[in-house]
Amino acid sequence: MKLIGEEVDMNNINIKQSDSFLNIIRNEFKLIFSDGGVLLILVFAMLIYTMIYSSAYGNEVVESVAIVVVDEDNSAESRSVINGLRAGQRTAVRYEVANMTEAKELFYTRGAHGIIFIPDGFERDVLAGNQANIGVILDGSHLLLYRQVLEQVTEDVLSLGASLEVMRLVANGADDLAAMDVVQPIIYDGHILHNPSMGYGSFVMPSIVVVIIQQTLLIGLGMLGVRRKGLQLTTLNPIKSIVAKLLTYIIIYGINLTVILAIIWPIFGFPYEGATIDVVIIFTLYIIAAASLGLTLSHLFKRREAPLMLLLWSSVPVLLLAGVSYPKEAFPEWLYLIGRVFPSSSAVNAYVNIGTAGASLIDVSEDLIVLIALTLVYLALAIVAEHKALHKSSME
Amino acid sequence: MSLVNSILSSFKREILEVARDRLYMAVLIVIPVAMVLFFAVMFYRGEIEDLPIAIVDHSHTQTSYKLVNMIDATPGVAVTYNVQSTADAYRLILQGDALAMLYIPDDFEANIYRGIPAKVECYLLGTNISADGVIERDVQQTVMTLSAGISLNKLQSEGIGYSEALVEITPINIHSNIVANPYLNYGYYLAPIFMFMAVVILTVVCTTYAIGRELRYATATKWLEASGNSLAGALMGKLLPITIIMSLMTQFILLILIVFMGMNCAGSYLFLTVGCILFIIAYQAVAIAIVSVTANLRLALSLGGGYAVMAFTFSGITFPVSAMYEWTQPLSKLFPLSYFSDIFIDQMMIGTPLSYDIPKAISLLLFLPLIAISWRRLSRVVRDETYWRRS
Repeated sequence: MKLIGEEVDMNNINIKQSDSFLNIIRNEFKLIFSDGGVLLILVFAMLIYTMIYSSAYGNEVVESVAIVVVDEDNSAESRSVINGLRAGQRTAVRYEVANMTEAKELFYTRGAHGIIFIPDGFERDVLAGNQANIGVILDGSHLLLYRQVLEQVTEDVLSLGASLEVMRLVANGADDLAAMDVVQPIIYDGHILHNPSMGYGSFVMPSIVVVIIQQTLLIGLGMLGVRRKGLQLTTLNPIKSIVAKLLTYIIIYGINLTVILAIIWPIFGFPYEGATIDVVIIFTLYIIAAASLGLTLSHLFKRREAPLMLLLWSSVPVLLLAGVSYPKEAFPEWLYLIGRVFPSSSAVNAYVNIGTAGASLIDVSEDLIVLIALTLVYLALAIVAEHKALHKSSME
Repeated sequence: MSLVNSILSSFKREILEVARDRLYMAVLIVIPVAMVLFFAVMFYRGEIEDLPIAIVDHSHTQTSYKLVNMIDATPGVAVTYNVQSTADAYRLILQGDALAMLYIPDDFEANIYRGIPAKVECYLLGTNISADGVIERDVQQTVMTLSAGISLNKLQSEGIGYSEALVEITPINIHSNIVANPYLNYGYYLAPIFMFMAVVILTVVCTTYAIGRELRYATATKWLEASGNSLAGALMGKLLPITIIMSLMTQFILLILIVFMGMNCAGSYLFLTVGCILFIIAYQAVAIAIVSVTANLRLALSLGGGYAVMAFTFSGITFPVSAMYEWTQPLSKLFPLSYFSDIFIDQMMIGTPLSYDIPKAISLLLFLPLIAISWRRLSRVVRDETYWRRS
């Protein structure tokens, strides 16, 4: 085995020329494992990227977002507002400063992502039964941080307001329940069915892993294709050749996926629901589709560096086109439909619903049908391209 | 040959190379422009609108119809399905047709009249937190609005005047002021970073290719000879076209953001432009180091590409750095994009005084010593044939 980065002798490899099915698989493994560059992308990249992304997103929840309080009132009532904010999970009152200038300084240096301003006269208004005011300055440049601060402040201030109101009503002779009903006649009761902590890693990692499979197959097979041209591999039957190669990739990616879902997922606490057989079916189809696309495209590259240079950038657009990490309702439908030519779009949607939400194959039938259709089309293309290439090399 | 002449002749040689090499042309010009346009279309709308939800209304009353209509009227949610049972609604969710279910129990209106708090249950899937957040916000706000309206009626029916009743319901009023991105446009939040990401990836790819190609195809001697055997001149002349084109690309991005997407520059455009150039040079320095150390075009592209793509995650735009594990947080400092995204947000969106961003610009300059550190290695690999022809 060559070390990663070591020079690859393009033509000197011990390849046994035999047309048997097992031999084609053996040759494919030899090709991959004798080439550090391809090995890095087809075998190791998936695990490396999954671990790095999991380390970044694994902590899941945005909590204790730093905020700064300016309390001009300095009263019992204003203290109770601040104590409420201190008790909340989403924010942390990191600073209490004397004036807005100091608060802005913290805001500009990103020491705080929100400013809470309690004006002079706050307690006076509360006690007099007037409407009291609180000012909040929020940072709209980071929507996840923004949401946490806004939700915490709203929740605290509303509940403080509600308790003030209940106290007034009870003081005026109402009983507790009746007072509660006047304050809040309808209660919103929210439930989250899966991923209950609304974790970011649990949300985004399944899509990322699915996209990595396709991207590494396209780049790796492209690089391998350039090398294949230098070797005189004689196989008479293109169908046999393609099926044997696909089996090689099902084995490699099957092992990688097992490691990811069985070891890495539990370590970071990402959800895995759904029947394993459904997951196996989705991924098998997907690997066949993506590898066939990779084998087809591999005939187009003449230089080994070309697939990396031409495909590296496409991972991010491909991830977005699947319409999960950024919801498909937010971008033009025609763009989403174009994106469906990539097997990743159907696989992301199907796998997220099965793997995270525990849906069945029947539930995701729409994506399943698209994925099967793409698999058949790309498989046929791969066989045709292989046939042409074999024909050409036998002519030479 | 003077340094200036040496730079000029290397520059000329590189421009001819770009014109001749279609792969080079593609990664330097065609793909960056295409990516910027792609993200502009992707994020143009900028609002997450009309997310489909399913309603199970067992109340069938005036108040429940009113609630459903109010929810349907919110920008983020569209009541797409009205089904009989929660099981039917759950099926729609698993199929991906609906993203959430709202359940209104049969005693809903009766409880309101009886003076017992009535419940509305909202079930979110949890697999898509950006969509779920929008649904939760709109449904919760609508429920609160309806609830407040009912409170107001009850208080008024007890003989309390409208304005007094209003104070009763909201004794404390929140005045919120959103700095940067006041309309909370997802496009303003995400499009810039994705577009600059394209610049990051392609700057690294082009810089790596420009140098690595001379090794891979054993043309390093010709390259040095063309620049009078001055490595400094040869390197500057070679990388300058990339610096210039990628800087123009950042201007193109700012143009698209301002003219097409309607953003405003709240701070100093000039400083932002300087930041763009420093940011590109910082990435070029990293690419020089990687290609010098590996002396292998393909491996340098794999590593450099991986590094470039990672920047997106570690800049903290999608998931904030402060929320990452403590041991991963320092990693964000290793990526020029982290400093640049702060400069961009400050100068484009917030209008932060420049004094806060000068340290960030200096941080970008701190990537330049990488060139000096890898200089000896680079001058060896471009002259020693044993490092060439690696693929």
